Amino acid sequence: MYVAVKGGEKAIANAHRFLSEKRRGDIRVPELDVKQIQEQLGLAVDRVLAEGSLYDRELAALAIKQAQGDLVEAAFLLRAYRTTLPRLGVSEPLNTGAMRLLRRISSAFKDLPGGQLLGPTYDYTHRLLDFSLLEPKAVPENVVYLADRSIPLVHRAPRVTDLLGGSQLVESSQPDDAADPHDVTQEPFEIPAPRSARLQVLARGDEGFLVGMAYSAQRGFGFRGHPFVGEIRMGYVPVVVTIPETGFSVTIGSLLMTECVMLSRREKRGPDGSHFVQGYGLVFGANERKAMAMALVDRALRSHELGEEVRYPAQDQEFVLRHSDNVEASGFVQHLKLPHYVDFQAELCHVRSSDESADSQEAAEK
Amino acid sequence: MATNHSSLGKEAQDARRRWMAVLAEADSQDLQSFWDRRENKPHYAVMSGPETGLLMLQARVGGDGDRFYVGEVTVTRCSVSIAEGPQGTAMVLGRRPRHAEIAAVLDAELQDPRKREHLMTTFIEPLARRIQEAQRREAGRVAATRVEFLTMVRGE
Repeated sequence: MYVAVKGGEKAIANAHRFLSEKRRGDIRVPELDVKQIQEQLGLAVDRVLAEGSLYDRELAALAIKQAQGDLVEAAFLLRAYRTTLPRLGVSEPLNTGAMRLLRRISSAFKDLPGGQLLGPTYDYTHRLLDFSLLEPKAVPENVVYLADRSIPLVHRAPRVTDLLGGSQLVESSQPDDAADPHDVTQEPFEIPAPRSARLQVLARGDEGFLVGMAYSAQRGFGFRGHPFVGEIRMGYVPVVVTIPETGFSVTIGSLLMTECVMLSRREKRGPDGSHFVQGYGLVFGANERKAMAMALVDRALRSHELGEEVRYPAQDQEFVLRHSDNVEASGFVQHLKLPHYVDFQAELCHVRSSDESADSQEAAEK
Repeated sequence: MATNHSSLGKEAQDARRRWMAVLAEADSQDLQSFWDRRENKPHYAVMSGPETGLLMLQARVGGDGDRFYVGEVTVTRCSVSIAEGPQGTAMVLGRRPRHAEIAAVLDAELQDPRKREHLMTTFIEPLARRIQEAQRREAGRVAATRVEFLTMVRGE
């Protein structure tokens, strides 16, 4: 039972003033500019706009500054802000095949058309602290790239699944555009949830939770068989929208996104004769770890529809979908610190009265 | 309503689609400085906006399968009309009211055949070149990270 508490207004106001001083830190150190966060802490911005489910780099950077770098709190701020805006429309389905690539790799196919592009990656770094970053550089560094016979980028790199299409190795995807996708921001979902709702939940889910789930599935608490990265691509996806005033579709810009297609064997051959099925991940920003985890968890959550036994948490829709949202999860975990004085009193009374009745019963039996 | 899109031919529609895309994708500072330098700015009335809101983004499972909603993006839209001329409209990514307004005014003017050529040369082509140049520079860096992995066969 919830019982309201009153009082504490001044203490709360002062606590928030204290917080703003703590947020600012030592005033001899220059204050952080939101632009600096946007430009130089880009991966933090990417995580916040993905989990906040709102692509706005400036607002995500502002949220990070306001939350003192607490990224889950920052995602919460973005979600709250989102509710104040009207929805002006729905885009045409994004075409990730038209992505302007910054990175594109496959660990299943060595020689894929369009090439393997490492892009700006932390892979193959030695994870040694770079002490030269301790001091800001007086003038921006002029980065010189190693000369190589560089083949220009292809305009459009085919997706690995396009290359396998028709081979009947991988399940084919025939889009059914008759019904609109489920929108979990407008309508609560039920279990079992359609794949559209599942992917929307995963795309905005907590990275840590999804990585943990994906890891558990890999370690044997999930689907059978080794998953392979069919393709990971990161880059700018054009946003196309039909503007009501014109009646035709216009590209209004592009957004940085990461896509992952994970291939894994299915236990039984599919009705189309396929041996492999896809797990799919698509996330705002440069968010490779999350896109990969999303693809693995999507695959695990398909166990039921693929006729596999659902035995472990990563395969269980209720377990994954109801616990992956960090705004909901941190809210429920943290509500415990709010005053529960009456609840606890009630428990105490209950324990005391049951002890007393037990004592008197014992006394009577003697 | 002055938006006579039904009478627009395919070619005219493609031309408008292109300039609307360039205006939307242009760097806000570039667009503003081009606008500031311009003489004889037109008189116009704002019909709606500039209004910032959300655009829900659809994606496809596996890139080509069933649709799902991947998240929202902030967008700003604006519609204007110029005196005795057509209406112009714009939708741009982000919270950029000034950008949306300038883009809408230019969209209106570009529909006027007497002004089009001049505006294409002074606004659209240079803005498009800047966008392409930035993309070309980045593509060069990406191409420099192209990798050819070799599989090693262990000798007996």
